[in-house]
Amino acid sequence: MLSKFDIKAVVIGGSAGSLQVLNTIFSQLPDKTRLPIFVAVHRLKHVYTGMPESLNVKSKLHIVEPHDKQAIAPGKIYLAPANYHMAIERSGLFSMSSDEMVLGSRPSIDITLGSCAEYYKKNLLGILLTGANKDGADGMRKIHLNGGHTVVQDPKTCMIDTMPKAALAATTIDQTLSIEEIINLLKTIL
Amino acid sequence: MSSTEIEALNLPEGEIKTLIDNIKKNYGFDFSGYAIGSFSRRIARFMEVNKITSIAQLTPLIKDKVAFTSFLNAVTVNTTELFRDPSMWVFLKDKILPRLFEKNEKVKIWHAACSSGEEVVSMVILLKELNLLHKAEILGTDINTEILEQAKAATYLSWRLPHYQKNLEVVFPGKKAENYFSKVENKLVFKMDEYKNVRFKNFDLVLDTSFSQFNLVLCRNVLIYFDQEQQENIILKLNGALEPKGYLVLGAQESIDWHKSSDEFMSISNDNKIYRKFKGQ
Ligand SMILES: C[S@@+](CC[C@H](N)C(=O)[O-])C[C@H]1O[C@@H](n2cnc3c(N)ncnc32)[C@H](O)[C@@H]1O
Repeated sequence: MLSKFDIKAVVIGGSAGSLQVLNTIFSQLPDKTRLPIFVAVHRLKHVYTGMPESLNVKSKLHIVEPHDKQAIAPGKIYLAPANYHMAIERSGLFSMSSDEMVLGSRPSIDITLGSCAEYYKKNLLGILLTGANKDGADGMRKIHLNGGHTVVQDPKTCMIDTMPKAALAATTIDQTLSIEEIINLLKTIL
Repeated sequence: MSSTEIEALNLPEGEIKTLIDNIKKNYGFDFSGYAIGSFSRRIARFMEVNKITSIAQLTPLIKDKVAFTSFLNAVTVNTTELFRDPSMWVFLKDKILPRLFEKNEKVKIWHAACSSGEEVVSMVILLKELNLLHKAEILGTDINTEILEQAKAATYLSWRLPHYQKNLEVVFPGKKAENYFSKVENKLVFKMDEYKNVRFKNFDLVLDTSFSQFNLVLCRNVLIYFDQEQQENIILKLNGALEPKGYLVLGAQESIDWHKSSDEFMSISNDNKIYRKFKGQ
């Protein structure tokens, strides 16, 4: 069973349909938390701005796009910026990179999930939402291999279920949850 | 081989360090100040693509010059675009360049880590359109000799045109990117005559010492590959290469905020990562 004090960070990945889900989730989270939340979602290339702003409208937690080598602070939601992969360095600082796209995407969900898994090991909660490709499956596998807790949005509730299904096929997923249940889980651990 | 197997090896930090020492001995590149996590990730990816299963297997391979060049390309990342981050170029166009050219007879511009040259081409287009190009002296440098050859040739793949157009559109609404390039087969060749006046030169930001004074230095999307300490060294080096009150432009997700050297600069545009040398007037 997932205990509140095992978790030191949350990482969320999503693609097609996930913005709306994120909006719903963020609008219901408390205004304070001791954890950092990392978010990697596919976004339109060359739409540089607007996403953090639009997510911020409903969220009580502050949503920011981090800079390279910025320190991680608790209580913030960190969104992978357009056109950069977002990872955590071994030093514990953010690392941005414009390496080639992975599975056709930059930011890559796999890279963010994978680096969080290596950094936080068993103290990580990984959540993969609706989406139209298999990005994130490998990242979820790394979270599981490092002892972290894995959750996917219930495929039945997804706009497009390819992403959670790919993760379910790739690795052990600890919980398959509806959006409501994801919110409740977050409320208990944040 | 799948990425699963590579990871099972999980590239031990010690082996990466030995590899870095080897590269330094054989080729004179110093990767010890690169951020180790992302550096290892790119090595792992290079190994995966080339079906190499261990650092021990990789080491003798890159003794070969040709193999090393492809390794270098893989680990140093050459991603770039024409008018990358268009709002920064708009800011340069409206707020920085007119004043800078008014105040100086000759304006010296350095693109440190220019990769395949799109950033330099963007500058040349911008200055030409502002009718300032004849007053500029432009230098493009990079660590990678092969990529510098591409920058000199300013020849790009045609499929990138729509992409270029989108960015250009923001900077110069209504202008057509294709007017700046000749189409040769599936390639776009930048055709502005003045481009031949741009100088290109090999320059390693880690090992080489700066050689001149510039009014404007663009050093974008290369600091992200270094650890914090090495970033600090490079920012100081760039500071040394700036004229008093010269401008420094970094990449969209780069910042000098948490560096000691931030005292040396004032921020001109936070959004566009434009700084100005503060001291030494
Ligand atoms: C991602 S590109 C940036 C291109 C361009 N400035 C832009 O922002 O679009 C990074 C470049 O940095 C170069 N580079 C990496 N390490 C370097 C070093 N130590 N000194 C100089 N250039 C380096 C790479 O060869 C590559 O061309």
